[in-house]
Amino acid sequence: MKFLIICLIFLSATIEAKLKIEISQGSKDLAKIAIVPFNDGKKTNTALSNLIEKNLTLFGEFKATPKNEMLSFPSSEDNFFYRDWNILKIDYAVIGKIEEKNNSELYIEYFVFNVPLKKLILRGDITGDINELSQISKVISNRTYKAITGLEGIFNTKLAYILNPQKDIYKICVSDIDGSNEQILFESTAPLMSPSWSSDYKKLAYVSFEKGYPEIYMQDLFSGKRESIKTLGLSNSAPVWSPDNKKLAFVMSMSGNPDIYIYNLRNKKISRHTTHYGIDTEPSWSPNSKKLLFTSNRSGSPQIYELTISSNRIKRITLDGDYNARASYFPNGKDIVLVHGNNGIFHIGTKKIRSRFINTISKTTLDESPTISPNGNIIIYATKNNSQGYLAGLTLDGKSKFTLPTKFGSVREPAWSPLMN
Amino acid sequence: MTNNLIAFLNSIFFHLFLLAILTIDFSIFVPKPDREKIVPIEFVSLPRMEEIRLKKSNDFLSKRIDDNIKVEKEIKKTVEVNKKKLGLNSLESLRKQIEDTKLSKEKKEVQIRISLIQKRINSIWKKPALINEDIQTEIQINLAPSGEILKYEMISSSGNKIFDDSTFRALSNISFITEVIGMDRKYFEKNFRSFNLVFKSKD
Repeated sequence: MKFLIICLIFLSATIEAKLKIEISQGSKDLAKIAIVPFNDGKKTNTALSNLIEKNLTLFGEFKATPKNEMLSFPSSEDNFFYRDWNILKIDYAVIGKIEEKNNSELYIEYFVFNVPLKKLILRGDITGDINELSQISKVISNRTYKAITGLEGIFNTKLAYILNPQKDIYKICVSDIDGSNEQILFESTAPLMSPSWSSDYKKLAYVSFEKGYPEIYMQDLFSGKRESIKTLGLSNSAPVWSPDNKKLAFVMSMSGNPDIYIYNLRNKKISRHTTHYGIDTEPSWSPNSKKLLFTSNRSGSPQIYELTISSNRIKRITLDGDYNARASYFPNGKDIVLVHGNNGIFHIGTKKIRSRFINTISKTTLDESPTISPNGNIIIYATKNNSQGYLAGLTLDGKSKFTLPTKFGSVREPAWSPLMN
Repeated sequence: MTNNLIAFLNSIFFHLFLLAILTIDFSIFVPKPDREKIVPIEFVSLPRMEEIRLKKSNDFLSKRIDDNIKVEKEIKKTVEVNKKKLGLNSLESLRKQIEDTKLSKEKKEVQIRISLIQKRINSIWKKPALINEDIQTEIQINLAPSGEILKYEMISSSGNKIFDDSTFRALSNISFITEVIGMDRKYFEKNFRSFNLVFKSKD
């Protein structure tokens, strides 16, 4: 008997599989990036490299290496030595050179290296005016970001938001993603709400109370021309442009009961999609324009529901928490971001549509109106500090949290623009 | 005719013989009882039929229980004898003992080294920003007993180049896995001479 047991132990040991060690957490350190001053033939030009550095470190995704720590300032592939950057434990290096063509036209060639792997991962060039250095830096930053992360760069996208600088003054503003170049689209003494971008980047829809009741307006960003949606209902709100740019989902109250409607932008017809006596609001389109998420209190508390437009089939998405609202899809269409509340504390959360679990990702407690970056990696949301509204953000990997520059007045309802092609 | 007559006479003799046997009084050979003697008779109350049955069944049951107890005792005795023979307490403890023997040295040591390696690789692996993709890259590592990485190669790709590159970038930062230094050579050869690192995008 003993002999048999020993034999079994021996056999089980010999047929054991190869050792596998799982690594899933990863380091909390940020990737180190060196943006080397570009060479313009006469001297090193720090203006462009500084702009690129500012872009790439805007959301705290990379740690920039100070220029005074760099051992050399290479400007071409030939004089780039990996050893110099390996010593500094640099993960990525961006180098380039600027040639002045005629008058103010610049030709810029740039290279991005993966230092530990000793690999050139991007070689690119761009031509532009010397006065468009900021735009040029955004293009280079976008391409570099994509080469490093595989995700679309978002440095030339914009943010629309409602600014409330003082009592009874409301402004719809559009700014660069870093808060610069703020432009006022419309100003009113009556409340303005719910800005939403058209997917072609040309128009913005929003709600204005200028006539004493909520009305939806679509404003052309270039001409400034405004157009309201004529409906039978007296209360229209929460307009959202479909990603295919053909429809506008919105909320209308025909007899005091808000329901979800869709406005067809081509034939200008309106269709009703919910009929429940509960409040249905805050619609949000799926990336394929076939479904809508909306908030409804039909179960007794605000929860998220998904509506399939072709069949009007409605499915409840959230089950946990006494308050789930303001949901929108990630670009993959499988996950959502939402405001998740329990006992008066509101966090930003993410959730897989098919799973029950809600993952809260923000640390602040009065969070609202999350908006997802078009590449799906960053969330910006409105929050409050001593009744002063401001915009905060975070990256989905949890490595970075940031606040956008404080404006004069409260900022609410950020809406991230789509990618600009 | 004479034959018939003989048969008739035989039959008469046979029947007369039978009659004689049946009628003979054999009592002449037995002494006659004393008719004057009086024999007293005692009347005793008999138990009812139900009580008889119940008693019988109780007896039967108690016999069965006794039998069972006996069998049980015998089993216990046999088990005890077997346990003593094997030097063990139970089947569970047999299993536990086998596991403990395995765990005691090799597994415990291997587990410690695994957690040290996990900690180290996690600290240098800069996971790329990926959203909602559940992917993994498997890399085979060949080590020298000194901990020197002799070779590493990807044996299964995640399908995402950026993710695969990030794992290689982490490994390119280290030349030695010092966590295996000082362990028993047998355990090293069996577990760490060649092993796989599985980098997962999600926990």
